[in-house]
Amino acid sequence: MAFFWTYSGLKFGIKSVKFPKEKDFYDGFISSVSFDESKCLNSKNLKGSSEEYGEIKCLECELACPTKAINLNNLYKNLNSKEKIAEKTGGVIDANRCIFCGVCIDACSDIASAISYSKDFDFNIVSQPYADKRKVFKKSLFVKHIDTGSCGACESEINALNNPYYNMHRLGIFITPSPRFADVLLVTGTFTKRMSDIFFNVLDNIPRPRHVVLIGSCSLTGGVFERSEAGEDGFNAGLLNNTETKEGTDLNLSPLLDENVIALPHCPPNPFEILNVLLLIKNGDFK
Amino acid sequence: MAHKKFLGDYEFIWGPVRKGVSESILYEFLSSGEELHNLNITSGYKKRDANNILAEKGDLYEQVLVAERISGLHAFSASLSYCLSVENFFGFADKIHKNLQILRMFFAELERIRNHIENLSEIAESTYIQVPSALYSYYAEILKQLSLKFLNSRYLMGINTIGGIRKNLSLNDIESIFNSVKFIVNSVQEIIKKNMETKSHIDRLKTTGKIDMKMAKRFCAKGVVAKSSGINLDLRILRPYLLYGNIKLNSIVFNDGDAFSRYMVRIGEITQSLRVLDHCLGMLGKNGFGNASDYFVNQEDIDKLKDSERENNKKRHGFGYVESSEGSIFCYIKDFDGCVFKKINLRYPFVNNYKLFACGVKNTMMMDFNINETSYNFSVAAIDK
Ligand code: SF4
Ligand code: SF4
Repeated sequence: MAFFWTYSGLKFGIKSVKFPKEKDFYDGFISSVSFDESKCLNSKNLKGSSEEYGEIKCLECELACPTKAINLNNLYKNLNSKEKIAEKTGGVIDANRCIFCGVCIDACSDIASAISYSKDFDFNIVSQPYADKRKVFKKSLFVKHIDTGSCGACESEINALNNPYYNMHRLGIFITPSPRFADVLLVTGTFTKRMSDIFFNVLDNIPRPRHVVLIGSCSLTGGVFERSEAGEDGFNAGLLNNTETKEGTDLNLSPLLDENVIALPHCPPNPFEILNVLLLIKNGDFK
Repeated sequence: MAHKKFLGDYEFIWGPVRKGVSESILYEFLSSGEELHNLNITSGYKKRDANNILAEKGDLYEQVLVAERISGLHAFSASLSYCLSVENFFGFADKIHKNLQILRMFFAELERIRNHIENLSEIAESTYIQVPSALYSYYAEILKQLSLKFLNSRYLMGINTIGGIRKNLSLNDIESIFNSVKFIVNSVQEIIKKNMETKSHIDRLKTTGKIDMKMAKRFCAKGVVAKSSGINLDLRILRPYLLYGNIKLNSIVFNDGDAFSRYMVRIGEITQSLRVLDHCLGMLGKNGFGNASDYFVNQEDIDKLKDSERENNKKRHGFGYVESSEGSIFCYIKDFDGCVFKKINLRYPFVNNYKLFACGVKNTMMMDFNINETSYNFSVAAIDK
């Protein structure tokens, strides 16, 4: 029978994608929610008047978004300024908060259709300022995972990287049970109080230079589990400890100040996105 | 610990951060090396306080989004259970168009097929047969890609809403989903057939983690675990919801209570779920289904319901249930404040199964532990709400 399975495996052939060599994503793949400023009623309204910039006219998407990921003020720095800040803040939609629910798309569909799922490759993940020296992992990259309060879907997406479709081993990336052999710590979940000591214990055991990748909106802001009023102890709100500012979300990585942190949003992030981040780390491509 | 410690036994702990990529839970073993004499399971490491978070949300749909993210792998069943309970609260259930009910059944079965195939992959891996494990996981991946393509979510999140579903699909879309799923299930069945001839695989499953019906009853086992020990608890058959009453479902029950029986239940359910999908497609065709959006409920109607009988809101309550891939998910709601429900209790099948597992694992072989645990297909997230 062992022979039979070897034969079956060979007959099945190679089903892996060529990514990252080619951007051969499957049919229906989406990687972001995009906001088309030119279609948005507010942009038109703002551009239309020359002296006095009008007020935000339509707030439908911002009001509908369950995670407060949309801030229409980001269309322009303020209503009396022409300076566009959308690029600087990462846009009207704060990717760190967006859970891909599509409620905003529905809300805008009858108004201006300015928001849509983007089928384009959009893996523009930037690291937080690097705190530690960077390394290129020429041969292999070892990854340790810790769950600090997830729903299980983020784990499932990380595990998917082992299936023959993504086959991350072909790229020299491996999951390791031991923090001592790890180069990267993948964190999922809302960061519960009971997991915090365990998290730092695991982190301390990973040799430097090391990277911490926060996977999924839970680990960034708490995602849908974010409290309406921040919990007294600051737990269950992800590890970015966001403080909301007028222009969006200010990222304050207090517990991870001297770590190389990479935030990977979405709920859950697609395996392609996780693989992309791991490859950027492996190749030392984070600026 | 109230257990007998044998001379030479040693204790060791495993967790809460365990092998590979897994959820956080603590296992404390007492073992002689070969035989496992006691297991203490401590959960609660990842408690997110979901009940209070649900109560803090601003509208009913936000509550749906949280309900489906308590355990992401059961997102559709849990959100359906919540939506059914809300619809029950407002006395709205009958007003939902049949076609939307059929679509809900369609996606619930899709979730079941996906979860079972994933478990088959894990079971194959636990018995060290890598090729079938990889093949199963490949097909599970294709199912997720299909979900993303048609429903914008690999885990069937964001589909259910109060009064039906949110995604607009045409009959053609449903047909192409069905055809792809049929191809996947047929391919999986081929692997299963060959796997049945792999003696090293089957032998390791047989008699592993055996529980008898008496024990299963004592711990109120749920879902696949109950069905594998001779108890038919399938709510789709016993207390049909949606339109399950219109379909003849067989009770898939095995009697040995071991990992092999659990494996067989899953295999049987995959085939049965494909049959349900086929039936759903047939019913949609007969009903002259055009687009899902033709049957969407008007938001204003729901808003009207929210305002009706306000004075009775405190006294009323709602109840819903769904048979997920691992067993029943019950939802009980009350205290409607005009916007959201302040008390929501979602009950997953895993609490009872964990207790049964901890008890059943005594005096089994340490080397079979992984197979036994995998065959239960636990979700820690569902316990640590
Ligand atoms: S997809 Fe959902 S979470 Fe993301 S911006 Fe739109 S409404 Fe907000
Ligand atoms: S980010 Fe989303 S998918 Fe990931 S653990 Fe949190 S709720 Fe689940």
